[in-house]
Amino acid sequence: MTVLSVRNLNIAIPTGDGHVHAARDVSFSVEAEELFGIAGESGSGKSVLSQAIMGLLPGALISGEILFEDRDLLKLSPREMQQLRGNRIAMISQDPLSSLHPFYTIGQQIIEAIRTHRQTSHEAALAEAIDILGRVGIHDADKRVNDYPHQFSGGMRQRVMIAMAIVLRPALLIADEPTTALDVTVQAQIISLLNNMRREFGTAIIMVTHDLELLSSVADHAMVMYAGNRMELGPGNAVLRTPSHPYTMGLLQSSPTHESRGPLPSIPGQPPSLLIEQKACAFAPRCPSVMDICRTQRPPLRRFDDNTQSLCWLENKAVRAPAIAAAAEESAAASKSSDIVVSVSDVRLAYGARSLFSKGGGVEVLKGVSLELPRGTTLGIVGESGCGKSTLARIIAGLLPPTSGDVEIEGKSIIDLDRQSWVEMRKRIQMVFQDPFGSLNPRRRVGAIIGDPFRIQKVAHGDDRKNRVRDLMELVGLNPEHYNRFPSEFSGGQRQRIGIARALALNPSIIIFDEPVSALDVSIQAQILNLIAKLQRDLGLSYLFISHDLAVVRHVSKEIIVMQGGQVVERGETEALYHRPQHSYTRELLAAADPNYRKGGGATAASISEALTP
Amino acid sequence: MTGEIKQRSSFELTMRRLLSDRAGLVSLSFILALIAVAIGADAIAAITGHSAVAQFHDIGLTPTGLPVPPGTDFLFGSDQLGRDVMVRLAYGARVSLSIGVVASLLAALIGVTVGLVAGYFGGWIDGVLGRLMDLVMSIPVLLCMLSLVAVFGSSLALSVTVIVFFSWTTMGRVIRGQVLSLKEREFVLASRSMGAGHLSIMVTDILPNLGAPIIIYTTMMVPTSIIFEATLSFLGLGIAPPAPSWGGMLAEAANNSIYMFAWWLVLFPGLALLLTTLSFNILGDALRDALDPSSSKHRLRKKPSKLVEAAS
Repeated sequence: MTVLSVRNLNIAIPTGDGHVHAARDVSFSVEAEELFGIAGESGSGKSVLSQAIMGLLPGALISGEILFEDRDLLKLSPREMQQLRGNRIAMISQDPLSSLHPFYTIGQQIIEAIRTHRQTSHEAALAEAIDILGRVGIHDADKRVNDYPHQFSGGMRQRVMIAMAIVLRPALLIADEPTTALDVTVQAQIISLLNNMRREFGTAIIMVTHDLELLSSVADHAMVMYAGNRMELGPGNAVLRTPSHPYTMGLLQSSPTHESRGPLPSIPGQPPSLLIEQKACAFAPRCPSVMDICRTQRPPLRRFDDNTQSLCWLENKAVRAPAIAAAAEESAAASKSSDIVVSVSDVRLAYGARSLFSKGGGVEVLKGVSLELPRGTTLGIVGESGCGKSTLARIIAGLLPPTSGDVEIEGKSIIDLDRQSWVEMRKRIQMVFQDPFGSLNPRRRVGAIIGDPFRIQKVAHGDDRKNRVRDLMELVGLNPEHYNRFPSEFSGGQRQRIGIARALALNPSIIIFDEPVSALDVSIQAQILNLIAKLQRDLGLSYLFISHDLAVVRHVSKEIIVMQGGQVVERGETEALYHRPQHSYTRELLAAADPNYRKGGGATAASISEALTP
Repeated sequence: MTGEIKQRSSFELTMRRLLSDRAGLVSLSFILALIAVAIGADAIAAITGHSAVAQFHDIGLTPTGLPVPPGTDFLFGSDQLGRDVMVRLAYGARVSLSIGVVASLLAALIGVTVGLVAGYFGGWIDGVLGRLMDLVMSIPVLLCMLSLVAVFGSSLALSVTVIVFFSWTTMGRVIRGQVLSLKEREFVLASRSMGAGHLSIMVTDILPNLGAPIIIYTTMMVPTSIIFEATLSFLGLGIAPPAPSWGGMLAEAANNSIYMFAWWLVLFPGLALLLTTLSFNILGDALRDALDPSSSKHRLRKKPSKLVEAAS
């Protein structure tokens, strides 16, 4: 039975700059009990599409049909839509902390959801709330129903959100990036929970995500969107294993999940602006198999034997781009002398320990971490949120003094430096930050931002500085003519390039990357990873690479350190660590990142980490 | 693809938002007109032939010694001494605007400096500066002013000093709050990791991001200062007569209950004061909406979802 059927949907959102065309002629249908995946990069229109189905786009110009249980949602009055929302169509958002009300207990919130749509007594609703919480895997549901959202961990909060969404047995559940904010081990549990719930209640689920790996393991049908277009639609396995459209192929290949080393086959360029009228294929400027016709006419819909449909001029399925030779990168790196540039010995950091009132207590964030980074290589640091990896990075960068222990950069301790030598030290170690939006001053021009190190360190003035900034911009693949623009005029990937250019300005020998690609889309992520690798080869830099993403760390690092709870639990050569993990936590992390494991539901490891989470 | 979508600069976007705000535009034009009047006060005096302090006992007063109502000789009427109300209003605008603007700018300067230092350094510096702001706010303004005038005698400089002293705290608190959140941003950490000093971070990294609140709150402080000055003059503590000021004119109208007969003596200065403060406040609101669109909710205009033809 078809639950939702979207036909020729066009969405345009009026803004100060003109209409944003968030969806163009999109059609698909979702069957009962099905998990329908919508994949795409940021700005592809996938979230806007789900909001349109929920009727949450007040100012937008929408045409086409959204048929839900044989009613066109676009023709319903706001009042009728309100009765439908939460009751027949439910939604789970990305951030479970901000979508739960901090002032009410979760029980009160679920009861409110029930009693808004159904005439029941408070007691009956409470019983139902406890029942549903038990089903989504909250232990002692009858007690925890009286807890407030802040008393739950991130994964548990997402379970509560799911409970609230399905308590009224909706026919359709829209999950917008339900696991993006969660750690890998928790992600697997949430996905398997959603999977069980749809079977148990016959709910159709639309899952909106940028994570193709995740979709390929669970989706029955998948749709890939790009610049508001439905590029490809078909059975999940077919779309995500043997894609028809060059874009889907490019996306899959640029994720560093496979046993790959060396440069990733990235998709060049940037996604187009949604303000532009499309007269041809939106992907043509970035497509590896582009033909002349792609640039002049809209692509036709091709149907293939495995029930996939693709919006493309190619008559056959997209071909896998030839793997780029891994070059002699390994040998080049290995030939470097093996002197140690960063040496960290038994670094500890405790907060509040020296406070006047609490003499004994205090939180230990780092419990004795030691590591060594040989020149010209990359050391990966992996761990889930809260394991202390970012704190460690800041200590090594000299931005935070450790409580005890020592950090040596090129044989010189950086603890208790005077101001002069500290400033001097900045020339040797630099940092690239996670958030490409927060780490660039929005009120300063790009030229000034990249030239900041020169200004602060008082090297290179006037035209000399300007030329060096232009050289740096070229080095990281930015157009030097954009010297006078503001950061807001650049995309996420370009901003990260600006951050890298700034870090390179003083010719440092060591760069610390703190989650440099976690805020970026897959295709852009591959570009940045390639750039980082190229700079290491060309300039002989040493990297500390911090990430929660095992695949990314594996791709770039020679050696890896696994951190948990402020301690190093395992360290070793990358391949050895991946194939023969020694510590149980490493094994759990590896398993959680494996798509087959996610599909299976992650029974054993899941229960372990469940027990660990308070 | 038909062509590049040109990205508008933030200045251009701000101007567009500002110009689409009708109330803001009206206020802005009123303020510009007022500034023109204040600058051209001498010209007005020359055209009418009435100086601000000249008393016209023959035409400015009725045979019984009462002020004359608005008419051809005196557009806004005359006061109890036979002076031209319109000319005095124009000169009063000079006083009000210059005190309002000068005092606001000085107060903003002090407020931004104190707020920046308190917010950036935190700790005991924040504690001391915070208590200082509390202290200033707890002093009874009028009482303080009365005693100061009693000691030093009333003057323009004293008025400005007192207004500045009592109005920088608002700005200080707002800026301190903004700096508290700005200093946690990663670009500050990035600057620090490149070896930047405190002054460099405060001036080049944090200050440019405070542009919007500084502009908005300075604009909002102008009417407060104008009212403050008018209050002081009304009580005879501000501008010394016979120099015209709006507060002083209202005070003279209140003396001997002359306003019971000569309504124009209250109406015109009162209206000038009201419209000026209102305009500055509305302009401040409009500036806030234009500079910081996320803070206003009314922007979201609700349109009926209209069906459009399939995008061509």
